Amino acid sequence: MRLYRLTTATLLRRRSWVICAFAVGILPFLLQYISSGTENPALLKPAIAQATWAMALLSSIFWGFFTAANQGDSNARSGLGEYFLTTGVSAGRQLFEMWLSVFTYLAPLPLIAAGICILCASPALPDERSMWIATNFQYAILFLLVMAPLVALATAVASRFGSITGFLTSATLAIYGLYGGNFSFR
Amino acid sequence: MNLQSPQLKLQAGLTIGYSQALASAAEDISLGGGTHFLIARNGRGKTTLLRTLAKTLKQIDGDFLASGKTQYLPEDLRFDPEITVAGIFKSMVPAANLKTATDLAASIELDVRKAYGKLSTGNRRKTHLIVAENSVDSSSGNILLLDEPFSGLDAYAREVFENIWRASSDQVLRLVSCHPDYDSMGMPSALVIQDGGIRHTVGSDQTWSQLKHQLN
Repeated sequence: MRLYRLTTATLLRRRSWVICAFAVGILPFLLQYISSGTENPALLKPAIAQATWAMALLSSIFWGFFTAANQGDSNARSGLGEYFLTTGVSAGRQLFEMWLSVFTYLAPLPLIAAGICILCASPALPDERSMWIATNFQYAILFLLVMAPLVALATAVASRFGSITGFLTSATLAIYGLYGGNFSFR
Repeated sequence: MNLQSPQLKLQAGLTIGYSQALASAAEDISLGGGTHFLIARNGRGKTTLLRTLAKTLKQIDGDFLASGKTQYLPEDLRFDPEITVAGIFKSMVPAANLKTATDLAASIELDVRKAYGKLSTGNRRKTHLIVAENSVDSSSGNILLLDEPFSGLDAYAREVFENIWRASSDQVLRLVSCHPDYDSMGMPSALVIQDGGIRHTVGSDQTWSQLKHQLN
């Protein structure tokens, strides 16, 4: 797992993950003040919930896919991929270790989002609260299931065609999956 | 402990190159533990031969046998500029060798707290060599394929690494491509690529001064 450790240490050192932590953990509480919740207090909790999940998605798409693509690209171009290959770490194994490393940083985002929604934006009624908890955890699991292959795709495509292509491939698929049904091509 | 001697056997006719053949082994070549230098003029196939033996490039014809755990250190290897040398060692070097690696870095004046991107070419080279040398598996034979490890390295650091190489010559086979910068450098075993042929030349008193005349 040398490549996993190296990638994880590199990402920790770059500190850009702090932006994601801020976007998901802090920003929703600031964004509520530019929502209509300031005029109608009943809308404050939904505003927090909506902002939290939107930030988690944006962070995953813009930070997660970009980081995954960047790692795939630099591993291929820096000679590290070739070095690991000669030590017996296959291309598939390298992809897995880089994916796991990026996912180590990405996986807490939906869990933080679910936690904020449950702790700070729960409905008042006990029956609704239990459904709200279940809904948030379902969404967190769905989020992880959808993001996992797209992170791997960004790394794999970038290792062959460069980081921009890798990032755009996964980002396009994610954005189309999220909003594609609403587009009209008439 | 299962100590196997590392071995590289190049069969006569082994042909290396990309789309076109660059060089062929003129005879059967057998290399055992110890340091073997690989010399040739620019563009004659030093890196191509190392990549072929590392199995990241397919040979055009012929065959070879490599027995031992292989590491190929490309000349243009680089780590992320943000990570520190200590971070690289912690990630890449087995825990049991971490202290040895850190001590070696201190002895050749490599500041492990510095970010990799802020190191000079020579200090980057030291980092790569320390990682490779400390990743050697002590329970088996090892093959280290080093592409221009000396470029940018100061004489003192080079001497330190050459001492390490001598001390582990039974267990590690090192094939080192280089362009020596002083005539008296000893090369008891050298692979020479010249006129499209790969030849092995040995001699305990063989020096770069004698071998360089073969390269034209």
